[in-house]
Amino acid sequence: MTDSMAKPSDTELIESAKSGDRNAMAAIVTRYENRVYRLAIKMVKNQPDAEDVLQETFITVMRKLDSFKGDSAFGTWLFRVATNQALMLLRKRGRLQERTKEIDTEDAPELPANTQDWSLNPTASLMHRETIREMDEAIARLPESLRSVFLLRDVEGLSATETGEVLGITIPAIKSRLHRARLQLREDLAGYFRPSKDKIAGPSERQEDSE
Amino acid sequence: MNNKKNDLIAGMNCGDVSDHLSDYYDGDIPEELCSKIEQHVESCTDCYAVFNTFNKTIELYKEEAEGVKVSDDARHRLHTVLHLEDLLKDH
Ligand SMILES: [Zn+2]
Repeated sequence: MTDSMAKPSDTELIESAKSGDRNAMAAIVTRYENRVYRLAIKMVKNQPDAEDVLQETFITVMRKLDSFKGDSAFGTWLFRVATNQALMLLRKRGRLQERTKEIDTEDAPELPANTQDWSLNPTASLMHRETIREMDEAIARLPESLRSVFLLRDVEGLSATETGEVLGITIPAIKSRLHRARLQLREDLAGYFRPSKDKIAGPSERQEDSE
Repeated sequence: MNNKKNDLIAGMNCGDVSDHLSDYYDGDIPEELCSKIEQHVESCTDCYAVFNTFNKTIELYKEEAEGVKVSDDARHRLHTVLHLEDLLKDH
C-alpha cells in the first residue's frame, strides 16, 4: 500500500521543479535551507558570509537545475555547490590555507595525549554556552581539508561515498581525514573540559589552602 | 591503570586502539577486531577515557548542529531572491 501523503522524494521534487512547478522548488528550499546554512556557517565562520553562501547556493542550483542529470543524489550535488561557494568565498577573503597535499601523506596521528574521561562531566553539555563556543573554535582550528570532511560526514550525516563525491576525493582519503579531524577535536575539547585543579585537589592540598 | 603505551592488551597496544576509533564508531570493522578493541578498552583506563570522550565529541557536535538554523531575516531574503516568497510564508 502506498501512502499518498508520504513526502515526495528529492527526485520527484526535482522532476516537478524542472517542469516549472514552483511549489516543488519551494519544497526543496524548505527541505535543505537549514542544512546548507549549517554547513556554510561552520565553514566560513560568520553569519553574513554564511547567508551569502546560502543564497548563492540556491541561486546556482535553480539556474543549473536543468543540467542536473541525477547521476548523483540531489543532496550530494547541492552540498557540492554549497562547499564550492564556501571555499570560493574563503579564497576571496584570503582565509584558505592550502595544506591538502600534506594532509594525506602526513605520518599517522599521534597517540591521544589527554586521557582524562570528561564524557560525563556536566560542563560537557550543550546547556553551557561556553561549550558551544569552544566547540566552534575547535572546528575553526581544523585545517580546511579536515573541516569539510568532518562537517559533511558527522554534522550533515553524509556517507563516506557521498562525501567523496562532494569533495572529489577517494574514500580512503575521506576516512583518514575524518579520523584526524575527530582525534584533533577530541584532543581540543579534552583540554577544555579537563577537570580544574581545585576539583581534583586531594585532601592534603585542600588543608594547605584553607590555612 | 599504569600499563605502558606499548603493552599489548587483547593483542593490541594503545596506538592500535586509537587508530581504529573511527572504524569502530562507524561500524566499519570486522567483528573480531571489534571485540579485541572492547577487551582492551575495558582493561586500559587511558583507552577507556579516550574511547568515551572520542564518541562524546562526535555526539556533541551532532547535537549542537541540530540547533543551528537560518535566521528569519535571512530566510526571507533567500525566498525573495528566489522569487518564492509568495509560496513560503515566514514565521
Ligand atoms: Zn590502551
